[in-house]
Amino acid sequence: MLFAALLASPGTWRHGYDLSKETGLRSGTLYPLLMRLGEQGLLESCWREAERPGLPARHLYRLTSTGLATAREAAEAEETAAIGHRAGARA
Amino acid sequence: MNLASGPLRRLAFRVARHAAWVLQRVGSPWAEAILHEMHYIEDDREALRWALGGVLASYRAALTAVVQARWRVLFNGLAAGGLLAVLMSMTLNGPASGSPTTMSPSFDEMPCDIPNISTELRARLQCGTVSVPRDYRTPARGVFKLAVVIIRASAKERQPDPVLFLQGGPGTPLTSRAAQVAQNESAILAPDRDLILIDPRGVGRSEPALCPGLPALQLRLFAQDLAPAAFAEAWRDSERDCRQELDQHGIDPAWFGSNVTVEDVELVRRALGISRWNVYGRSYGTTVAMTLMARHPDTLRAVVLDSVYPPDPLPRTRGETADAAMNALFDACRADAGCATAHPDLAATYREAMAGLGKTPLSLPLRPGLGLEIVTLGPLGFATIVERSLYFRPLLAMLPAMIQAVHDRDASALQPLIEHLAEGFLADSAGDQIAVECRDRPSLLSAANARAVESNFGFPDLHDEICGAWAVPGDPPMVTGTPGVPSLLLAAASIRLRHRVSPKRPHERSGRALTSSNSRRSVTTSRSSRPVEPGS
Repeated sequence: MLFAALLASPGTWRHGYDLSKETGLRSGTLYPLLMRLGEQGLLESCWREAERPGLPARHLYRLTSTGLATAREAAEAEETAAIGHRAGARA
Repeated sequence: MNLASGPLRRLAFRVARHAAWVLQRVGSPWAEAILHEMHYIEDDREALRWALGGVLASYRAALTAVVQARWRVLFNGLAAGGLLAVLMSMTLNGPASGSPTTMSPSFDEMPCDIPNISTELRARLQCGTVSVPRDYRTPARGVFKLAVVIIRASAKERQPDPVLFLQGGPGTPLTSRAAQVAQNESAILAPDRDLILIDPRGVGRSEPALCPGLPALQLRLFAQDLAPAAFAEAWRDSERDCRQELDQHGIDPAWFGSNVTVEDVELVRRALGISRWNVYGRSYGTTVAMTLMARHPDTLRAVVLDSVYPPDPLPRTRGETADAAMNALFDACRADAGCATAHPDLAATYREAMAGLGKTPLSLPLRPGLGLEIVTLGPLGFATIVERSLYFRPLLAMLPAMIQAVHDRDASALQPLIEHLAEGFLADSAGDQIAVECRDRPSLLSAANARAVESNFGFPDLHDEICGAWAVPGDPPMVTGTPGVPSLLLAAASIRLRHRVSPKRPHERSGRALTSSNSRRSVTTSRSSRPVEPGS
């Protein structure tokens, strides 16, 4: 399901550097996490050719369904604790 | 971006290359990821920081490779939580989040054109289509019509929750076989419950037609006694052509996979106005059933998993289990007085039969209508016939005599068997099988397993290679079970020896998964229904 969005919305795939900026995690923290998530089947990755010539391909990441479920559980648990009710389910 | 630049950047690259070197030594695929990413960092200092972090990451990875630290430790860290949150938010809020819940599907009834149905059955049959979005992310791309057949309960009092039968495959049609299902599937039919059959997208009478010529083409390859290399080449070509055909018809291979099938199934449920149903999954159908359990548990009253399809994303059992199934056949023959007398050493007879075909293939005619007049039977064709026959109990009993006949160079005995298998082969959607498997499990085979397949069937398995050029991989099916859905696991219940033997370990793994997720394992039918009996 998520993959169908790949072509329609390339934004769903994330670059390591973008993730680093957004999370505030340095590469030394970020990559071991990404690697571990990947090993656990929670994260998938792919290579994408550079948009401009002369630049190397970039490695992209996004959650697998298992990863999404895990992430959702984590978020729901947090939300339940914070505001006292569960987040709405998504089909 | 900033490749020709000052000393800081040169240092950064030296550092990053060191990180890559460390990572490569521990066999990590991430080395290049960090290095390449640096090319996109404009600021030199930033790039250096990035590279230094890369070194840190590489050392940690090297350390982890030794220590094998438990992953949960990382999850306990706030950092992981933050990262997950970012990844999740972007997934949930992606711009193309066309959710199927926004659609209101309908069942469009039409006259049944199902072959071989009795008058009694015709009265209980309802046929129609349900339209599902081609692309759930972009519903504007149009719909596929899925063929749906309902076999109404035979009892007067009907339970509100019907049974959905998810067949094997992927790629095997079901609705056209409604008569056979009604006649033969006593384990699935409950007199007081409707039974629902669906042809998944790309299969049988459902849209789209996925490479409709492919089965006939591939059947001809089996019938030619090609050398393994030539066979592999022709097979590869046929699937590459199929992939191109998809492009020509504007069909995106990303529209397939078990997770998509599950959403289709969910739309069919809603179209039929069913609040909860019981699901009987067999073989590959168990993958769909378990993914359904994970995605839509509230829609399920009970689930039966019959002959579990290997649940692993990377099963290593295929060659192994093919061998095991053959050995089980030989053992079964040895244990049967009649068989043992007629074929004292069936294993040796099989080996000799194969060797004989290797020297000189056998030729036999087929009845018209199969697109094949003559079959030239070589070792590859015969191994395939034997392997396919292992799935079906009625064919099992014939196998020893078939092996003997080939050994004795008498091909005529094989004609009905080959015709029967050819019919099944032609009805299956080979295109859908690739489309689903390549999305679900693009890297099916380890190198070792590919070798096992090769030793068994005499040609290399091309799955991984074909999938590499087919599509971006999809989400893997969710096959770990879900708490709260009563589920019955039938490990040895299949009518097929191949399944009875082969899924032993997959079944154990699924069993563990279901048990560990606190799913109950119970009989699923109500008192008024016919009990589901393992072994039927």
